[in-house]
Amino acid sequence: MRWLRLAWRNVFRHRRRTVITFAAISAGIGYMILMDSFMGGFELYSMRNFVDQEAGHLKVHADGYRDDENVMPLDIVINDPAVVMGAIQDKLGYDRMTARIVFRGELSDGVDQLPVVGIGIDTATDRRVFDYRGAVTRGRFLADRLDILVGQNLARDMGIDTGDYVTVVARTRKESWNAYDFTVAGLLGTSDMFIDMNSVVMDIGTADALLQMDGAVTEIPVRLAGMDAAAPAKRRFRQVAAEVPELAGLEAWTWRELGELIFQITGTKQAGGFILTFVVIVIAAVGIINTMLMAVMERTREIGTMRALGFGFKEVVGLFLWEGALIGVFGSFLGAAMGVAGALFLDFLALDVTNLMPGGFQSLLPMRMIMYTDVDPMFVLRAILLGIGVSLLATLIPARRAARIQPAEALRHV
Amino acid sequence: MHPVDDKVVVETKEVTKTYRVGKVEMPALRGVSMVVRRGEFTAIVGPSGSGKTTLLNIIGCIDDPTSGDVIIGSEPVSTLSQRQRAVVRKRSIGFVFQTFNLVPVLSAYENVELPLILLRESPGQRKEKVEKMLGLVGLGELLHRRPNEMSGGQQQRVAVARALVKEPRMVLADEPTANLDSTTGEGILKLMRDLNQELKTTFIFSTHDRMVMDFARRLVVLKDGRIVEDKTKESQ
Repeated sequence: MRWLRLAWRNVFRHRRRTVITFAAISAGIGYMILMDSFMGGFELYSMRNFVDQEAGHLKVHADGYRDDENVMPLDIVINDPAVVMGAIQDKLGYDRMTARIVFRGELSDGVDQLPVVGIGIDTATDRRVFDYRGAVTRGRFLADRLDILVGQNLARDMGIDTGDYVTVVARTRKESWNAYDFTVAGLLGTSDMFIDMNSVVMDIGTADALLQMDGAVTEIPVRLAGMDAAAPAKRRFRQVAAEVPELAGLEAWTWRELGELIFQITGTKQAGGFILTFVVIVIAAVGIINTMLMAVMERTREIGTMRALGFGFKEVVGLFLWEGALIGVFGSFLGAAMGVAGALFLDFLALDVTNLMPGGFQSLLPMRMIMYTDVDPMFVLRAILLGIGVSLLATLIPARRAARIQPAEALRHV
Repeated sequence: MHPVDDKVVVETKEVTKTYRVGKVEMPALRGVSMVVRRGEFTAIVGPSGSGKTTLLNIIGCIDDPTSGDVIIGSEPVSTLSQRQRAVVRKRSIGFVFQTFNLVPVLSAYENVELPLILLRESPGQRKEKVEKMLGLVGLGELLHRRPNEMSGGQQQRVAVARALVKEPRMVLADEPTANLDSTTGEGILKLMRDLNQELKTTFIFSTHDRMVMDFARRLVVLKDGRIVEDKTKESQ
């Protein structure tokens, strides 16, 4: 601490240069925190979205369903959903669940015909897990057994509006073809683009009849106390299913397992963000090295004087390291403050950037892109420590160079 | 002037120094042997390029001789590591430079305090010593001025205070009046002579200033890197 005052004054000897160096490190740290918050927010938002619109926290399927999930098989099903749900409630204590039939079909308006994903929902219990009623952006929710909700993007693509008649064609459980005519009751605008672009929603009884399911369903989504409850719940389900005959032949999947692809994509994006952050930090480090080398050049004679006064190698290095540390501390805290403020502001704005995303992005990650952010305090702390560490490391080279200057030579320096 | 005692402060033994500029060798000192005793007020004089600054730098342990040795107290400097030499400078040697060389971001007080911080003295001790020393050099009122707020003479007084505050074995002053007008320079010399008498500190100057020579009790004349004359005035 002996040289703190001297280091502090040296840091502010050239204000403009110091401001530029601060700016470099602040921008680096601020950018890092902003990126992380954005990624964190994006991940949290996409997870919640996925849970709220598609998956629930836990989904119960018949064994083997997930292996063929892409074709949405109707022969790997839960035959008696009421018994299963009763057993889940009794043995596991979960009461927020519903039964669904999810199937592949074709939607026709008499002119166009497009492949769709049909979802048969139990209008009485579906809201225990999902909220499609609140996602109706036009028209109304399902009221009649031949009502249908159409994803708003799908409706737009086909030129369908509420009140129109449409036909859903699908292959039944018994391998025959069947078709029903529906009235479009409403359009669905969830934040899940998969639903908005590809899906139609109907009453589960109608879906049962259309697909000749005989009371069977493809899945039972369950809502738990929170996102973190899913993994322990899966373990408990497996334990209980081994002992309870009603649950035999069933398996539970967590939302994370179900959305593996989505979270892999966000993971890749995070890795990309880190590479960019690394580049920014390198630029900041080069800025500090440059500033310090200039300081060493300008202060050569002064360093010679200090050596003559008795400053040893360690003391000269120490003095410069203090300067680097001060730049690091103030630059990092300033950057952290800017990053957190920027993240909070973006969260407040909640910009919809779906249309700014590159083409093909939505087919890869079918969701609405709202710029939410999630500031991770531990990451902010790590970023600050990294900023200080980078400053110290970047200062070490010029500091050692300064300390190696021969005093007599330094004193001759003009 | 107080009597010089027999205790040797520094001794040079056949010191040579040769600078190499590319392939050219330039001898600056060609075998300088001299003894400086405690309390001396010695001027090393000679024309430019005679080796005065080089000799002072070698005595001050901030430059190494090409051959020969310097003995400070009883220790040959050649046997000391760089770190030990820094310790010798820190404890035993004060420097005064032609261009003052104060740290520009520190006040007069802080500049004088610097060697004491280096010696890890307590804040209380430092305050007492710095104020006393700045008072002695006549700058008791200018404690908080920065170098750029002081005249050349005032800055050199601060430099003298900085050299003396740690009560060193010797003070080495390289052309201390060269950047000052004659009146101010004389003031600085009187100050150093008074401090020499009061504190019994040994002073060694390099100079080619006539006035400085008049103040010195002992004159060591260098020419082409050799001592050509070494005389001590009987009284002044």
